[in-house]
Amino acid sequence: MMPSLFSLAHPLSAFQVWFVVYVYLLPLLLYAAWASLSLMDLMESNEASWPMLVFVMLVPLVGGAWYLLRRARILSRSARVATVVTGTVVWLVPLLVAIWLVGRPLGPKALS
Amino acid sequence: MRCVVALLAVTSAVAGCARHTAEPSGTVLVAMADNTFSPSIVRVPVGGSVVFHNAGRSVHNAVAIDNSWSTERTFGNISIPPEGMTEVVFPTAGVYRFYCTFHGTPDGKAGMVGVIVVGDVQYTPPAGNRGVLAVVDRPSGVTRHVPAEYPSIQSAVDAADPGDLILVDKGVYAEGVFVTTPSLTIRGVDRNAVVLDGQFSLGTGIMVAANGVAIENMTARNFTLNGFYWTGVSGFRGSYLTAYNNGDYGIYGFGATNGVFEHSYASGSPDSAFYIGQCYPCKVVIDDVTGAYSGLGYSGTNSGGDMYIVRSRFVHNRSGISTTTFDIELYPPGRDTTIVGNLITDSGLENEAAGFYATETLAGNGIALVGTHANLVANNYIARSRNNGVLVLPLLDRHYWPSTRHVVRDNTVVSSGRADLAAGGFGTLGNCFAGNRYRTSLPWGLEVLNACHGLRVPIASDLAGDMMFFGSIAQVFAGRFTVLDYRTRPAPPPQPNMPGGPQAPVIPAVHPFEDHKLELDSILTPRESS
Repeated sequence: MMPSLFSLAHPLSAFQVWFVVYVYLLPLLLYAAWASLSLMDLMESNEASWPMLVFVMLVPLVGGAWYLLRRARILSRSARVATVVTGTVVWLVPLLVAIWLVGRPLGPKALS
Repeated sequence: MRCVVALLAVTSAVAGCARHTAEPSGTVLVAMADNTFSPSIVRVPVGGSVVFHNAGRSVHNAVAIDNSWSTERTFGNISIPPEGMTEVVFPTAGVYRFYCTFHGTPDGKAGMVGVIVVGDVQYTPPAGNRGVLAVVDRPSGVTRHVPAEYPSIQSAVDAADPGDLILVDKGVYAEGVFVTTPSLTIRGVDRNAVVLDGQFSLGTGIMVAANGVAIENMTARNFTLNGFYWTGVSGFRGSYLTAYNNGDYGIYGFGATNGVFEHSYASGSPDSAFYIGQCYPCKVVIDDVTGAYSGLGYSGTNSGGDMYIVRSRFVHNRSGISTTTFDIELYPPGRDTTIVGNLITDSGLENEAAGFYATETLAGNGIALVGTHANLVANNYIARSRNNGVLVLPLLDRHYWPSTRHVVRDNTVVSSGRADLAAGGFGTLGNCFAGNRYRTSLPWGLEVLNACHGLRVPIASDLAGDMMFFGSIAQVFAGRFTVLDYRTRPAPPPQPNMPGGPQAPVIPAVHPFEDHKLELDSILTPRESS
């Protein structure tokens, strides 16, 4: 049986699932959500330009977030801010906890 | 700073911060065990530092015999408790002898003492009270018998001249031996009946700080640190040795070049059964050894360059073979290691091996190439790894070390729990896979898309694996893991004696690497029945 792209280590732990979901999968979803909302706004506002499209698509997360917060016109401001801020918080809080967990020195002997 | 690096590594696919060159980081770790420094002789560049880590159960410290520095000044307390650590910087070249005020003598000559050599300063460990002795490449013809002529191995070693044979008769010797006389051969008359026993209170069975010393045909067990240990030497050999249930490493070379470990068995070490660290080019061959029931069967950190692990067996370890890079030791990254014709099975499959917290972060892999470069992994048989058969992964220490330019070919990898071949992490590029017999890989098509000849696309790593690695680290920090006590691991069965036994030719280990004829092309993939 071929493993899936997310085949899990053994024994599986809550920590591993947490890291995979919040640190790996969630940013991909945020990128897709922010970029698609930005594109929708760009098209409907008739202000679409190639540089803006390229920026939103090719600068992951930052492009979409910047557009939604600073340039979007069609979507309501409260919806845009909620989308970006909520997504950022949901991503960054677990990420910061994760960094705190693994960012401490592993120990002088580490894996040697 | 570390968090910043971690943030970059976790959130960015940019590997521009990675280092590919061999720049000494300038920081060396010295473990303070009960009651010895390990390693007790270290070299750092000018401006470099030594991290003292209390790996024992008693309080320790390190104080220069001239009082020019001490861990009290950096740690803030004369006593460093277990697991405590502190870093001392050495801005001036020189030789700094030091001691633990609790367990060593203030003259730095006995007990828990050590030497730090800073910069390009000539330093040769003194041979007892006789000064520096020259290496000889021919035997002297003198045999010193233990215990018939000398009551202990140490007393025979202290009396010996370069080129002598120390012949140890059957018996259990409750002593740790420190060798500073070069070109000695220390041989047991019977590998299974000549036993150094640390009784879980002594540090290391035989520690060698002199060039050209060979140890043959004996056993070391129950030491709190290592069974057999060469440090800072050029020329060393361990043949027909058995080391089991030692608290750190079984058979161990650190900062040692031009050596051979052969026909030996090590088991029950929480860290690794066999270890080569901090050397480049190492010029070391590990041939026909067995590493079992340990955290790692073989571990090599910051080692490489004419570094060979061949025709050996690594079974029932938490992980089989691991090459790693750490900033804590000199000569990063680990690179140019050849791993050919080994049998690696049951890695992390059953919780029967000794281990400690760090080995748990990578448990369950047959061969793990972690933050290293340009290793050759060929003709190995790897079976029943709990997670991955062969894993290529970057490592995050003070720097981010990607894993690149490895060649993984013609291996047989079966029955891995997660994937037979796996590559993960940011910047894991330039590795190639070819001719392997396997069923699963992560990412899919790893071998097809990263062939050694032809197609090579940058779809070469599975980031989910990296995240699970981070998750394993977090799990370890949370204390949610269990390892077995090394003192309780089973003793190995009787091992074969050295051909010729006491009458075998005496060959000082002056250039064993060159003497050890190795024909890689003749090494075939082993079968599990072998």
